[in-house]
Amino acid sequence: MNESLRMVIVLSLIAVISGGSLAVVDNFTKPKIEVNKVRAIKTGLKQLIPGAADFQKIEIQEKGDKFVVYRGLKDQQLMGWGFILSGSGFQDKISIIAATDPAISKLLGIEVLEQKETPGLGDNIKKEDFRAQFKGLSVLKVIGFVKNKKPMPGSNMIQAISAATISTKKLLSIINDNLKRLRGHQKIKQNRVK
Amino acid sequence: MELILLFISAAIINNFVLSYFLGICPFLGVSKKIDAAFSMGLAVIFVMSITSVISWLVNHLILIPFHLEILQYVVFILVIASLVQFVEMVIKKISPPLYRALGIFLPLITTNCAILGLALFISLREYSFIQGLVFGLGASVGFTLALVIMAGIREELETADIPESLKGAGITLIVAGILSLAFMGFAGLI
Amino acid sequence: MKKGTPAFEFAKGLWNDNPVLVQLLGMCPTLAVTTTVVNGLAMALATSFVLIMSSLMVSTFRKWIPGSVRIASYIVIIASFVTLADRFLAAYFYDISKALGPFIPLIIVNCIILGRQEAFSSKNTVKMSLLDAMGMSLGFLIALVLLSSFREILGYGTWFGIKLMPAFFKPWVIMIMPPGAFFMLGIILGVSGVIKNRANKGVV
Repeated sequence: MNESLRMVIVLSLIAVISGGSLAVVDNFTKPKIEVNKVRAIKTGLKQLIPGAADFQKIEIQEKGDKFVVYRGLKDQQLMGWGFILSGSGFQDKISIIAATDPAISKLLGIEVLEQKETPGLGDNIKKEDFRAQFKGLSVLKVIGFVKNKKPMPGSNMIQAISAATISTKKLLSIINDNLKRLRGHQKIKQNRVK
Repeated sequence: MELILLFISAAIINNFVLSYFLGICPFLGVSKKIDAAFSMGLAVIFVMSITSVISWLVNHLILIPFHLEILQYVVFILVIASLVQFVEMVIKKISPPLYRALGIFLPLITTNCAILGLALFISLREYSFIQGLVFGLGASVGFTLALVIMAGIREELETADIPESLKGAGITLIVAGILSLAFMGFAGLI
Repeated sequence: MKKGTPAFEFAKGLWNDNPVLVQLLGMCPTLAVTTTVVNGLAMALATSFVLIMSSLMVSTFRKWIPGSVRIASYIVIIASFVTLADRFLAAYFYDISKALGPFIPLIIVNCIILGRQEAFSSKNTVKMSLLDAMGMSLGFLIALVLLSSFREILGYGTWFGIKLMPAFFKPWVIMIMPPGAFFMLGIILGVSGVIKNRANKGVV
């Protein structure tokens, strides 16, 4: 057989076999991977918005940025909002769920989905007792922070993680900036009443 | 502005070599002389910029519209391998001096994981076309920077008195650790 | 042990020709994913799967693959198995797949795999190639588990997630960050160098 013909045949045979078997694998694993991907978000939302059983996904385009927002529903009634927000942290991207009440006036809590902050310092943002500080804070005002002491009650502040002020600051600006942009968005206003 | 930040982030803060560990093989292999390191860096900048463009196009014009994401890895690596061959041929034709400078480094680039890493990161982070290109440029400039600095240090190390068993890769890795520590100082810059 | 015997082909990957500690191949995953033993082990197993399967395929079909397209063929075979491993992990071990991130697809350019196909599987029988691939995989696994053990114990105070260090021990955060990977591997290479030098001089 001609050498170059053999080359073509062997290569295309390998490509066809590999493509075919991968298609089978894809069919088999795709549904499982999809379930895994949304599982973290769903469990986070369930914990943050008490009572909500159904979650309705809304996609929002705002000046070139894409946002995903969930409405937490119980018997067709709006129980709260879950905003998927992300931005740069100290090391790399941080992405979180920020949950608010139906009127988008105060936070129900936050959950960290992804972060690569400094282990043992900045990555304390995912710790329960740090996150608990966010519950009940107003999102109508800017959320601030204080260092090394408990914030005054009603000051709308949290206590920064010691030795990780930048991680705290970045996390706060992810929440403050994005919620401010999204609160007044057309699509959110439309969905608020129902 | 955002693009400048992306460039700085890819080049310095999240340096491919020193914080993502991509392209370690050439980093250890071709960092003995500054000249060689610089030429290798240029070759990488060249190939990585083209890769970021081509891989984005392949991903968004072929793989995603036809739902062939499962073939992504196979296609990316084949594209990169043929791209490197192609670039080598073109340079040889149009600029023999450049070919003499980069020639031996080009084949090495196919197995440089920074190139495939770049294509994967661009698709994983869903960068736009322009963002992808800037990210590719930043990452490759960062790679060159790390490589040249390393070569500079290693030229000095040759005359240093190093324990027998640490010579070669051992001391290089430890120096790389110190460099990586220095680059960590840039974290929080943006 | 004599060269060419099954035992030799298997054992050479463990120490004398250890892919990481001696040949200095596959450094990227070695440094990047060894923050915890679980991650290191998962990486080693995924790489082993790809290496062993690719060696099996390449050595079985070595006579049909024309020399001029062999590298392209190996790359397609390797990339296919990597995709398989990647999807399997994402479907059944999602947390691990997320922790290893792009380093699973980067197994494709792990020089160990392509290197073994080119240097061994393309020239040897299926049996020998399998033994060679298993030995190299085990060598890679040993290096990864060694490095990740040191990093996890010093960096988190745990091993396989089990608390190991006493309460007063303050974790060395640097060990789980990029510089720690370079330092630790540098030290391990140095120590293995000392052992080898001594063995050569006949002291041990």
